[in-house]
Amino acid sequence: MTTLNFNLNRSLFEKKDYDSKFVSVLQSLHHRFVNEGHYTCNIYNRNRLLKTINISVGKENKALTNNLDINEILRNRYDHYNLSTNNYFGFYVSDGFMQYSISIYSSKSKQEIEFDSSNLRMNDIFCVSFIKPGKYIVENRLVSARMLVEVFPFDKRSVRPKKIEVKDKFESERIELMQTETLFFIVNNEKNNQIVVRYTDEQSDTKDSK
Amino acid sequence: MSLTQNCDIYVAIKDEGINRTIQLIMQQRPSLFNYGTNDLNSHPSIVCNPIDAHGSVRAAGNPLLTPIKPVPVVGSSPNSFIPACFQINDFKIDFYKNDQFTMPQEISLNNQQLAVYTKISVGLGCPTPDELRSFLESIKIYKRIPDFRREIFIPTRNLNCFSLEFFATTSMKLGPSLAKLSLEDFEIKDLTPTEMENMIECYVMLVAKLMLPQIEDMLLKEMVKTRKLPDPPDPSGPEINIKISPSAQVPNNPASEDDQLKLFLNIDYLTMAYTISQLSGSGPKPITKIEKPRIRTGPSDMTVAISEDGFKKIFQAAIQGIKFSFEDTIGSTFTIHYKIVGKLKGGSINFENNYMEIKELDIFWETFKITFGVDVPTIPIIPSGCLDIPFDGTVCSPGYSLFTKNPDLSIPIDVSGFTSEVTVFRANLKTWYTTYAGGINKWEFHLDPLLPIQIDFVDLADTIADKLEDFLDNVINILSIPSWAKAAVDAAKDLIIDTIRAALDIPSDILAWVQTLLVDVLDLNDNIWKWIKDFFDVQVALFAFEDPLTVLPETDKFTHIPALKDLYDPVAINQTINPPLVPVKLPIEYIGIEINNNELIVKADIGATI
Repeated sequence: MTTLNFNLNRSLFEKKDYDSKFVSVLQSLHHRFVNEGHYTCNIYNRNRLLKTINISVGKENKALTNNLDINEILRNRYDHYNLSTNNYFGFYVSDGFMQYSISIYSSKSKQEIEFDSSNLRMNDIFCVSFIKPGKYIVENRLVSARMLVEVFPFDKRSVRPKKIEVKDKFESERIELMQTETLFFIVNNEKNNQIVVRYTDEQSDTKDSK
Repeated sequence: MSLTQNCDIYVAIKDEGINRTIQLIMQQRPSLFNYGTNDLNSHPSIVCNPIDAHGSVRAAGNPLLTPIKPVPVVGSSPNSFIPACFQINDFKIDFYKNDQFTMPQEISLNNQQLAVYTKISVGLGCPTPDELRSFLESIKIYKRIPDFRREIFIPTRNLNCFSLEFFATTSMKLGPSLAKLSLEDFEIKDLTPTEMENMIECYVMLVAKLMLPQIEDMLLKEMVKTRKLPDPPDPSGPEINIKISPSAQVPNNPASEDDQLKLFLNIDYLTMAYTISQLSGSGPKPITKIEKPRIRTGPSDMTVAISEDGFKKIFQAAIQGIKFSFEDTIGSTFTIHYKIVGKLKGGSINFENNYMEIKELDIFWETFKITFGVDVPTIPIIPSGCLDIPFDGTVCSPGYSLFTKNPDLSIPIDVSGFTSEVTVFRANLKTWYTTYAGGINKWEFHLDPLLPIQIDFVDLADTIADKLEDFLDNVINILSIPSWAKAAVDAAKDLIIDTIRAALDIPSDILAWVQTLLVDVLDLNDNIWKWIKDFFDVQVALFAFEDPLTVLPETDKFTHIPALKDLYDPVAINQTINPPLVPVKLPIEYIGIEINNNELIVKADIGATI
């Protein structure tokens, strides 16, 4: 048989579980910068530093939001980004199976941690896009909270983003989504948070074509 | 009788052409032939013989004389010097029979000899009474200066000159391990007293006898050397290792006869290494190209003939050393990346009247890889969505898509390792005189293929077709998108197939499609004939050079001749010449190539003026 190299973005179909410690395909992390200043952002894979970028935050900066594809960051030589104060800076992965952890600290001092993907803090946002229908258990591991996400097959309704506030507990115990919809987990507590989404309902999965 | 009956390569140069060339060099680089104290460069008109400099030399304000030391006035105090000059006014060569200059009765040019004629002028400054008076006045002033040690140049515009004409006859014999040079006779014309003439002539003969063996040794060493060409190496051109030696099969080598010097050479060793990596000529195209007719009669200024056997040695070296390697990507939505490396094998070459014929040449395709690529349109699966967060602004989730790369699909087809046979290839050689934008003229040598070339691409189309058919049969399985994602990507899947078919425009008969593709895109089928004809005849010259041909480049330094090093003015000789000396160019009036049953002959004539 002829060899075929096929760049389908197959990772989209194989993703079932999500963990806010990482940025990977179908899950993104967003941090709101409140203080002006210069920040250093390290991108790791399995504790190996892959790239460092600089983020300048200031009122004079025009960018109100900045979502960066880590695949692009790693490919580009460019390593400086701007953001307007009080706005969100996001990281995502457009394709592939790699997962990355992020840490951001003030360029003045490594001790002044601004964001750490392993411990989400107040106002950090974890976005999860669901493509596989079924039931998902969501846990906030550091605060022992749980909820259920039920994803139904695509039915041609318009797709809308949904949000869940993460306080000591999740804002809801159960939420229904349609396949391809995105759920925003907005951290609204003073603790460290790690949100894990696990696919549980193998029974409702229709069989894959061969 | 063929020119190369007893050798691989025959080279003949005509005395008239050499003398025309010397004349052109004298006009364009007069400082090679005229030497004088540096002050004379400001007044070159007072030298012994007027210097016939080319208009370009005068327009550039180039110095006409190479600076030499002034002549000291013996016993002067402070040390005083006078200007001097030394000129080679004429220099000619004559191969038997004598027709380039008139020889004095005392000397004659015999069969198989060559004669050299030189006329020189020597001038020495002789101050006029006024100049001398003025100089002596200034000396008085200098003498008042304590410890004055400067050297003083006596300014004069009066030179006393004399001229001498030298004639020499020589002979030369070359063989595979032989280099013999002889100065047969030497004569200075009309020099008196006779005793002085005899003394100088005897001295010159003595010098020649002692010096020629050294030159013979040097020639022998050079002859047995294997040369690496070109020198200096040109990474874009072929690397040639060659050893050429004079033939022993002819009675006189070189032969000085018919006003030509004829050299008979054999190719002892030849290798070639060249990778052709350019498929088509990308340079500028000529505005006009003509076959320029010859205007002179008789033997050409230069004749080079290569025998059929000699050419077979060159052909075999080319077969073993030439490799072609092409790699490129063409197209955008539908791309074809190809990497092709080929080598030549076997083959024989024969000369016929007006063409050469190559038979049974194989092309071994060491690498033949074609990768078809398709850039499928990006299909969004999960849309980007934005959420307004009260008091905190807006946050947007990223969208996710299928087919974000280019190419999204690639089908590599590797059919490396097959052999194509070029059944028959006939070609003539042509010379074109071309004119390019900017008025640049060139002589170009082109291969002129005569018969449609037939290259047998054994089952290439079938192989590629089979592999593509196989791919299309399996494309649905290859995609293997899970059924639960069907709803989300259903439209996408249809689009994938449609896009591939639309991009490739694949009809039901895949083989026909592949054959069309090979003709239209890669030119590997019958159309290759048109391409080859156009490629060699129009686009790519086997060899080309500009007319006029630059033989001495522009330079901002005087030429140093080691034998004259004690004569040069040590300061002026090393100064930077600004503007630089103009390049020396030779007009190539005619070049013609012909092929007959026995040999390939190239003839060239040098023009008289530039």
